[in-house]
Parts: sequence; C-alpha cells; structure tokens
Amino acid sequence: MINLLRSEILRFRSRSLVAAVLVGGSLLIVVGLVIACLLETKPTALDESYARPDLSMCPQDLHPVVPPKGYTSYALDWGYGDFFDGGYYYGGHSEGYHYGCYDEFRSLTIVPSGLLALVYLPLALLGSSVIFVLVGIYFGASLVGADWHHRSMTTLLTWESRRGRVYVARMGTLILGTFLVVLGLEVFGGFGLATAAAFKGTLVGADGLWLRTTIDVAIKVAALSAVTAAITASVAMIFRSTGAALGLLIAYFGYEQLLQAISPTTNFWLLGRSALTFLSPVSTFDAMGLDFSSAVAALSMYTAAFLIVGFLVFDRRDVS
Amino acid sequence: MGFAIEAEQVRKRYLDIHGKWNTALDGMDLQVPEGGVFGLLGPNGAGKTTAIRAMVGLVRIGGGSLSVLGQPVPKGLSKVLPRIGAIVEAPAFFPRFTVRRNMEILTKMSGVGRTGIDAALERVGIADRANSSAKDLSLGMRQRLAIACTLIKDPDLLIFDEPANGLDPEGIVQVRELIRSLGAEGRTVLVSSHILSEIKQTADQVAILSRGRTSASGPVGSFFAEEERPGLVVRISDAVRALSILEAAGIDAVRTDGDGDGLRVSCPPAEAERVTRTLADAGVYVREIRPDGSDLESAYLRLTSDAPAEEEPA
Repeated sequence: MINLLRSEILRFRSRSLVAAVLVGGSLLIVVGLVIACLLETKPTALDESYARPDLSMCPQDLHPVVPPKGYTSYALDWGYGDFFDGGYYYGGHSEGYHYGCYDEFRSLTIVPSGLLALVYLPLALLGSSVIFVLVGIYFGASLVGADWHHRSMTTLLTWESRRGRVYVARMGTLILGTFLVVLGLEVFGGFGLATAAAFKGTLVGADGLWLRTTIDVAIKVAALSAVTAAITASVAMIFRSTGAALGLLIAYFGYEQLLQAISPTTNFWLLGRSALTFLSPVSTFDAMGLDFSSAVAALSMYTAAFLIVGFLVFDRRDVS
Repeated sequence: MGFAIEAEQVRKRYLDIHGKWNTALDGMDLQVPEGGVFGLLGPNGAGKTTAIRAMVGLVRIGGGSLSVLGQPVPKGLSKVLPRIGAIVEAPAFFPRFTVRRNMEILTKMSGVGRTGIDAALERVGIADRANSSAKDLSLGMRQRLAIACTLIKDPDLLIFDEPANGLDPEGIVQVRELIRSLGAEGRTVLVSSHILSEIKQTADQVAILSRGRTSASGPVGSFFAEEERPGLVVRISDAVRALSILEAAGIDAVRTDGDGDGLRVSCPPAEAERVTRTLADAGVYVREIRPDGSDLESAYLRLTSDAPAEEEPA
C-alpha cells in the first residue's frame, strides 16, 4: 500500500496540470499584488490611527458600532450572535452607517475603505474559494478521467490487481494533493498580501484572532476543494470520463440554482448550499435552516456516498 | 511439466448497449506450458484479447476455471502478479510523462527498484529516448517501451498481446528476437497474434482460437509441418480427367474445390514442368499453374472457420 501511495504521489506531482495550477496561480497572485501596490498609497498616520482596533467601540452589551464615514467596518470574528438593523456581517463596507455587534470577541478593526490591509485576507480567501473549488473539480475529473482516456488504467492494473488498494491510493492522493496545492496557494497569497500590505498598506488588525480566523478559513477552503475533487473523481470513475464528470457537476450546480430560484427555502442537504454554509459564518445561515454541523454532515455524507459508489463501479466492472 | 496458464471451459459474455449478449469466450480450454514461447493465434474477434484480459484480472470470467502460475484468477492473482509482465492490446502510458517517469511510476507501485529501468530500456533499444515524452514516441517505440516496462519486473511469465502491431519490419524482427530470447531464458512468453507467419517464427507451441474456443493446439513444428507440404495449384478445364492422368503418371493430386476446376498437386514447384508436360501429352491443357504457398493460410482459415477442427495435431 505504501508503494502504491508513493507511486500515486509521484504521478500527482508529475502532472502538468498541477504544475500549471501552482505556477499560474502564483503568477496571478504576484501580478495582482503588484498592481495593488502600484495603485495604492501608503496610509497616513490618521488612517493608521483610525485603523487601530478600538475596543471602546465594541461594548460588551452589544451596542451598535458606527464606523467613521468613509471607513469600512471589518469584524474579525464571524461568530456573531445577532445583527442590528442595517447590520453587516463580515467584510461589509460602508455607505455611512454599519452596525456590527459581537458577543464573543471585541476586536473590531476599522480600516479605511480601499486600503491595502492584511486584515482582508480571510475575505480574499473566501472570495477566491470558488476558484479553488473549481481547481479541485478539475483535478478530480482529470486525474481519473485521463487514466480511462489514455487507457493507462489497464497498464496500472497489470501491476496491481487489487482494485480496492488502487482506488484508496488514488483517492487518498487526490484528496491530500488537492488540499496541499490549494493550501500552498493560500499561504503564498497570504505572504504576498502581507508583504504588499507592509510596503503600501497596513498590517493593523492582524492579531492573534485574525490569524486564527485566517487559518480557519484557509483550511476550510482547502478542505472543500479536496472534497469536491473526491466527489468529481468518483463521478469520473463511474463514467470513466473527464468530460462526463465535469459536465455532471456543472449541470448539478445549475440544477441547484434553479431549485433555489423556484423554491428559495429549499436549502437543506443541497451540496452547493452546504458548501457555502461550511465556509460561511454560522449565524448567517441559521435563518435558512442550515448550520455548520449539518453542512459538515451533508458534505461528509455526499463525499462518502460518491466514493463508495465510485469504488463499487470500479471494482465490479470489467476493464476493456 | 507444469503449466504457467491453465484455462478450462472459460466463458465470457458481454452485454452490448442494445441489451444483447455477445460471447467472447465460449468454453476456451488452454494449457500454456512453463518455459518457451506460446503463440495464441486467431483472427480478429476470436477472443484472444479477452482471454488475456481475463488472465490478468481485467475482466471477470463468467464460467469455467482459470489459473495463472498456479493461482486461481482473480482470487489469487495478486500473489503472482509481481511475476507477470503483461501488455494488453495497445500499450498505454501517461502521455505527457517521460519514458523514465512512466517507468518510475510503475516500479514504485510494486516496490521494484529503479535500477532496472536503464537495463530494460537498453534491452529494447530505446535507451536514448528515456527523457522523451511518451506521447512523442511512435507506435513502435511505445510497443518497445511497453515491453521494457514488463521486463523491469524480471517476470517468470510474459503476456504480449499483438506485440508486432505498429512495428516496422526491422522492429518486428527485433521484437521477435527479443521474444525468442526471453523464451530461451526459461521464461514463459504468451504471444497473441492474428498473423500466422509471426507465430510460426516466434512460438514453440501454438493454440488456435476461433470464436472463443480453442480449435487446435500443439507444438509449432509438427503443427505446421503437416500443412506445409510443397505443392502446386492447377486450374484446368477437365479436372476429373486431369486427376486420373496425374494418378496414372504417379503424381499425387486432389481436387481442391469440389466440382470446380482446381487441383492441388503434391510435388515441389520445381516439377511444374513435368506436371504440365504430362497433362499436355494427354491432350489436357493447363489454364493456370502456380506454387501453393497458401496452404498454411488455408489451414489457418479452416481452423478458424465456423466448422469445428477436424483434427488436432499432436
């Protein structure tokens, strides 16, 4: 089994797709940050002073917080218990008044709008989660589909006939590989943003709580990418085709959007909705009938079901 | 002598997209002795590739029994697979990886060290292409790469499905010599082909597969010797009379096509002049006469036709 895993890891890291994602992603991050540095101006002392965490603005009795006009309120913690009228959850920017309150943490950071600020990293990671999930989907579809397309699965099975082992090694490598690739890009982006913010922006608010939140988001995004890679790979194993796996996943998300449009309250156990809930602040979606735990349960159930069906089909069907 | 592969009444059916069952193996019996080169001969669609797929566990048989290197397939296959090198149909690799990387991936799978890679590439004559992408190789080169991949296991049993496919004449000769040398080393090499001459020149033993069944099998020497007697094909207007004239002259001949105008005369092509003179002296004139080089092909066609084999050479 160790040999199989070593072989699969060698194959995974040899893939031009993986290299393209790593190199291309890194280049995009660098280019984006260079452009941001060119466009941004170093914040003034006044900006900095406004940007300091202002604990006095975060009363424990959940009083509203009003950021100065023209400034963005940014709460590092998403475990809000409530929002007031006009309230805004994470990363909201102002048109004047933003009311935020939080009952657990008191680390509201007020950052001038548009400032190149490291505190925005969790939001940047969340915003790019769609891209990372697409990377996972493509990794999963192509890693398995290519084997069937090029018939290299036939060659592999003449070296290891125990399909259960082949399947576990393949999926394990895919899940771990996708997780690490996405996490690597996130870390690279984080360091890139930190460097850019140090030169042309501000690091204010990037405290321990922020770091914890950032790590939490980064791991969640990487995990979600890995999960979607596993689901797509299972579909590719069932249909023995990259195109079929990509097509079905895209068709499913289209169907889910349609379902949501027709029946907005239908959220429970939907794959896309569960993924959003998994990434998002819990309370945001409480009203929709989903919470973090049920989202994790739904994602786990879907992943396990697809992996099992994928294995059964792989194990039982002839390889022609 | 033991058998490297034993198949008894092996059956395999496929369900096509129209819901119709197609029989690929219809009670195939096969015994491949250990050591030497064994040819599995049959026309396209005879079931050769399905048989090979079954031997390496790619397809599950629907009936009968099959064992490879003493282990039942598929249950015990994993125990002996490290001793088996197989190419099934066209060689398949990861096209964007280099030759060496493809081999490394396979060697890691079974824990075989990378040390054998260069030697295997050298042996099949593509050592200079080790760093080329697999997709840049010609079909013949890929065939050699596939053989090289099987060799790094240092296997006891090699299974090659149509190994001469896509090779140029020089490549065919090289692969043939390689297969012969592997057999001479004491390994068992099973080679499938639909090309009669290829099997004849490569194999020690042969089995002919037709419509999923073994229609004949035996040592290549005795198998083909019977069919390779020299002769002449003669076309003549009065075949009945010609037959009696030739018989009277002590020349063996038989009619080849029932009531038609063909005769097969059992004598070397060099004696064509004697045959034509004998017939002409009797007032029977030959329309066509040619050496009968197709007997082997005829035998092959006869053995692979719908009719069951009339006899099985010893």
